[in-house]
Amino acid sequence: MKDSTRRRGPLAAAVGVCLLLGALAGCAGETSTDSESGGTIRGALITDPTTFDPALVKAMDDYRAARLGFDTVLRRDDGSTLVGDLAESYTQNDSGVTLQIRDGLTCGDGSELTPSDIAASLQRLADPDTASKAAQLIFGGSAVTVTADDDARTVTVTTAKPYSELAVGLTHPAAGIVCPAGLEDLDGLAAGTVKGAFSGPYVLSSSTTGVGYEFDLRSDYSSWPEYAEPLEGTPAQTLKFTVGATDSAANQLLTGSLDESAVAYQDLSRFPEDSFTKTEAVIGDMFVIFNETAGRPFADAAARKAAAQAIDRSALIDAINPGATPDLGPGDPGLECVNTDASLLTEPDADAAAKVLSGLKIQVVGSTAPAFGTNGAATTYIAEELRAAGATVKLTNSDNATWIGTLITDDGWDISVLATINTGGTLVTGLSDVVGAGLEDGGRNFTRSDNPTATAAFERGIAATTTSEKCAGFQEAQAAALEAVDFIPLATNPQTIVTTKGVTVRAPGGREDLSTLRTVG
Amino acid sequence: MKLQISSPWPRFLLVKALEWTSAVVALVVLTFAVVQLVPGDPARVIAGQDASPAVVEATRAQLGLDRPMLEQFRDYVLGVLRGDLGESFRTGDAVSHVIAVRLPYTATIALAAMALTLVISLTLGFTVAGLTRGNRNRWLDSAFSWATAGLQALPHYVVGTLLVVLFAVTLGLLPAAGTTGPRSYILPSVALSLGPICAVSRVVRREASAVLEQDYMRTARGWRIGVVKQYAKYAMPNLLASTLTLSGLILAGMLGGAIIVERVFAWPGLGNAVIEAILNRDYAVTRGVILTIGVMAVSVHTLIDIGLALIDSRTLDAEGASA
Repeated sequence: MKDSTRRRGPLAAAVGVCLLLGALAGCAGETSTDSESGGTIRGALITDPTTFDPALVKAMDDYRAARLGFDTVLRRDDGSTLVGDLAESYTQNDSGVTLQIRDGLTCGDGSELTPSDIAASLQRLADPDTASKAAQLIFGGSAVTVTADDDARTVTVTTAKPYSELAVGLTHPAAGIVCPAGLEDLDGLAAGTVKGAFSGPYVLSSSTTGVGYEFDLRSDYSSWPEYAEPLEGTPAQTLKFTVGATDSAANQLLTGSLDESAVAYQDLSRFPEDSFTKTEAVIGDMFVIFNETAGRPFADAAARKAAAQAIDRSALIDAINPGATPDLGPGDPGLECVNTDASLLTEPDADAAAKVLSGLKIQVVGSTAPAFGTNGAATTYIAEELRAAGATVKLTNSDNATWIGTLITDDGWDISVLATINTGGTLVTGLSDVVGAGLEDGGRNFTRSDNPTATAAFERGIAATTTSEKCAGFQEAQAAALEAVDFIPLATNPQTIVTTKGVTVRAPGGREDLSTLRTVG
Repeated sequence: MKLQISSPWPRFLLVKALEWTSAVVALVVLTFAVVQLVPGDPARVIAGQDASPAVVEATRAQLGLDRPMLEQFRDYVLGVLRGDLGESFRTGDAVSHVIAVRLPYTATIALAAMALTLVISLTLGFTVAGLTRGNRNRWLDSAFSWATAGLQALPHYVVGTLLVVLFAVTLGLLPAAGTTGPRSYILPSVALSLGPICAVSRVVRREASAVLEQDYMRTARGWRIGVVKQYAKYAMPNLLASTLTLSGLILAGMLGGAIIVERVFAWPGLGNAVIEAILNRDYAVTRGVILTIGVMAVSVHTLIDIGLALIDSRTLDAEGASA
């Protein structure tokens, strides 16, 4: 019989060495609490949030943190509907939105949150000096005045120009309400150290850059969003997030180190249905964009159409992520006013494409970020299709920062795949990337397209006072842009959130929301 | 009266100090220059993909990137001299704070790996040398050579991944990643040490074979001195100089190797910090971390030289002569 204790010798020695050195270095790791026993749910962040100031959110993890700490006045629910959060109801007209604020709202330090406080927070978000990059999406870009009536418990948001997406915009995580204590200490707000700044269900209780973040549930919080289908289960007392676990999230979920994390589609088959729950969400959408700057090959509409004929959308989507849902516009099928007419898309026709593309010199640029397929699969596929059509192609796939640095210039690229982060769930997010003013003119349009019909229809949709007018404008804009092949819709940028048994999360309106994490059973 | 200094130590230490200073100055210049060569606009990255030009320009001014390059370099050098490495472009944290938080994680697995390397490679090298002394057990010699060469050739990320698959995912004995407790230090340390264990044990085996054939070791065996005492008391001191030299160099190399291993194990050390900083164009953190790792590596090399001079004064003379 073998002596098992002898075989454990080296392992025990290694443990001993690690314990000793860990103690000497003062850096012994923390021990996680299991969600079933301690009311703690352990999740993963891609990287450190750059700020805890909701107005200044930039990256995915900023949005996640903002959702936990700061409530918005309204929230998106499934089916493009809006539900109350800090506000219990709202009305919208051509001058703005009036919100009826709930009773009994409090901040993280227990102080009362009044309609005037909410108005001050929204006014600060709209102030150009705040330099919020989300403000344009939320308020539409014109001057904003926010007033409050504490007695009537109303807040009125008025825009200088009509903006049909204003109510939807107010659901954006960047529109999270900052309590007065946060507005008085902006540095502390950004660092997450002002407990009284938080208006949402959780306050940041500890943070170590590069290591992890903990949020504690507020004991006096009761203003949960009023979703049509109420959330089941119990909110965790503590949410503990590890930073930088993206590549190892699947392993950590499988070995019990994490309770919740987004998981790459390649790893999903590793999770048995009886032990894990998969929740589908959407980060944003992907579409092919062209550089239509004068002098570039795709300034010519015929060349863009030929490229669309050369590219097989289905195959391209498979190359990126076979689980993605095909789009017919610059937003996912769940978004209000998104195009639903498949006939507007260009059909593949390799022979016709070759006649136009043969001999053209085309620069394809792409990102190697996972959202674009393995090692830049999206643009690699496009480059090969264009080569097959006879074009002379130069492909440059690089990291995200290098790629976006190229894309914001009007030279050095001809075609690429863009992925939006559409946390607010608005069609304007994707549509303004391909229609309207270009980047050089203060707009968001990467293509620099000159499409007056699409731009005019887009502006009509923006200024509409009814949903039907808004959708008519946006759909005409999409149709004009698709007819001119200013972009080629591809698919959603999906996100599958895996939770262990006993933990659930919801994606209201198709967007991940960590404040919906619950322990059940 | 002319003071006669016969000791070579002052000259030796002066030369070492000059070498260390030159290397650090080069590091300061290189860390500033290298990040400028990385393509991509940090202001755009920090501001976000769809930020307006106005927000991007405001971000650029806020980060100080709109100032002339020489002015930025001057501020960087003055900051380094004050011990101020600036603030992270992304989070606004002081770079020194980022390093203070994350260095212990890297140092812990590097030192644990070093300890494993010394303990296992000395034991293994001596054992194989003893068992193969006088051309005995030639199969063991071959097997040892093949095995250590093969394992040494495996990159850190392959070793790390294999360890995760075996010990975490398949057997469920240890955490797959992260810092969830003392047990989570084991796999990263082992992944980091496997290559060095192979390298050092091969050196120990070769050196030990030579030492075991020396006349004084034959005498010791003839006097029936116990094997453990023979090796520990008489053979090992003759191996320490070469083993410690190699180990010091490996320790400096481990700081670099940790970058890969930390990625595999989602380990929150300096390696992960610098990768994230490069991807996010966080110049301040990139410069600060690389400078810190570089200064540590240079310092380790310098300390090795001094340690060797203390152990064997002949190296002191050689260093002085060559300087």
